[in-house]
Amino acid sequence: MGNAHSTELKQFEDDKKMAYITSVQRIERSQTLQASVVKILKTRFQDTPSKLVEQINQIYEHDRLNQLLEEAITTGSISDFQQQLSQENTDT
Amino acid sequence: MSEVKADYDGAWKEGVEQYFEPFLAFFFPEIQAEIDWTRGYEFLDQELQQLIRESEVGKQFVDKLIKVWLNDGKETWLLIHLEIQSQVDTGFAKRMFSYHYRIFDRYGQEVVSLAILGDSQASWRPQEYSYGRWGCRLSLQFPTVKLLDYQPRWLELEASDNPFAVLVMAHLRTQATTKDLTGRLRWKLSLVKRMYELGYSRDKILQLFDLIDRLMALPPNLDLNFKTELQRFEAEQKMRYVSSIERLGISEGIQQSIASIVEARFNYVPPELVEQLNQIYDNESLKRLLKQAMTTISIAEFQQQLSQENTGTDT
Repeated sequence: MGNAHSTELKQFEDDKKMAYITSVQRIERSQTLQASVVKILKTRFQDTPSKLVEQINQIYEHDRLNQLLEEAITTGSISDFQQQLSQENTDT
Repeated sequence: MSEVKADYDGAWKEGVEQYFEPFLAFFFPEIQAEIDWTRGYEFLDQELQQLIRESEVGKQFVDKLIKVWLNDGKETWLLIHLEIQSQVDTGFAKRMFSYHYRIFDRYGQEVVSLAILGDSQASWRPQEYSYGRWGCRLSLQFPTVKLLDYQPRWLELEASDNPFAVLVMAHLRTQATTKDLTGRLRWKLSLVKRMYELGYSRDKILQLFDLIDRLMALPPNLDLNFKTELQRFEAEQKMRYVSSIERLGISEGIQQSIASIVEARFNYVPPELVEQLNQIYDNESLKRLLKQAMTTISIAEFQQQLSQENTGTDT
């Protein structure tokens, strides 16, 4: 996934790693990223299946959510996005 | 599924650094009593670093070298060795000697070596390194504390207000629950809630929470349970300590979302933009920016919107 991130973005993330991040902060961050993905999809495509939302809300890994964010923006349709999501699910 | 890894090293290192006097008071009270605390103390991390060989870096132990002054005015160095790993390390006593000797040799200092054994094997109790032949004999004896020995003294731990009582409880419960993460969740909640019930200050709770949190690592679904339960508890008690700092997690999540959106849309994020974004912790501003990041037509336009929010919410 590294190539999707510019070095600046990496730096930005590294800076944040300096201080200890508690589990509570980490989980809040995951939930915020999940909400962002859903929000983008809902803004771009009126029909976002609730099953898809549920699936997104099961993902907690920041890198992966970040990737989904980018895909949510660049994807052509909900079904494309869904396909990418299920591919990743089987990948990892 | 991400792996759950308790950060024993990090928790203990941080604990000793933050609470050095309570550390000695808890584990070695007779040493603590002989130190002149009014003169302060000094962590000699660099001096120690120079003595550690490449091959020893990243091993599962933590060493701290500290300069203290005694009540009689004499300067003394303490080498504290925290052995965290759960398997028995056969080279342990020898390493105690090597480090001890290297400090003596390099800095000409008398050192007192101490060890904390955090493993789970009751019978493993190294306290000496020695060899000899033909009337020549060398021996280093060192005091040790076995964390496992606190297991039957649980009530004593609960009664103590020393931070290390909490850390030892968290350590033992973490070890006991490597295969029972739901059990670990319950213990984590009970150890954390106890600090509020004992009336610890906000700062003390937050600092100790960091240590407990490093040790008692949970998978995300249980982290979520923990968060929800702690939020409820804090609201009931009207002491919103952890809940107040977790807002940072939300801010950082939105900041990251915005950076990713800009990156995905324009294939590039200027570093100044990220830096500016980093400084915004007002979640309402960030939510507005998130929307704008989706709809903005250019980086320049977004940059302008960002500057507006930034000056608007200057703290």
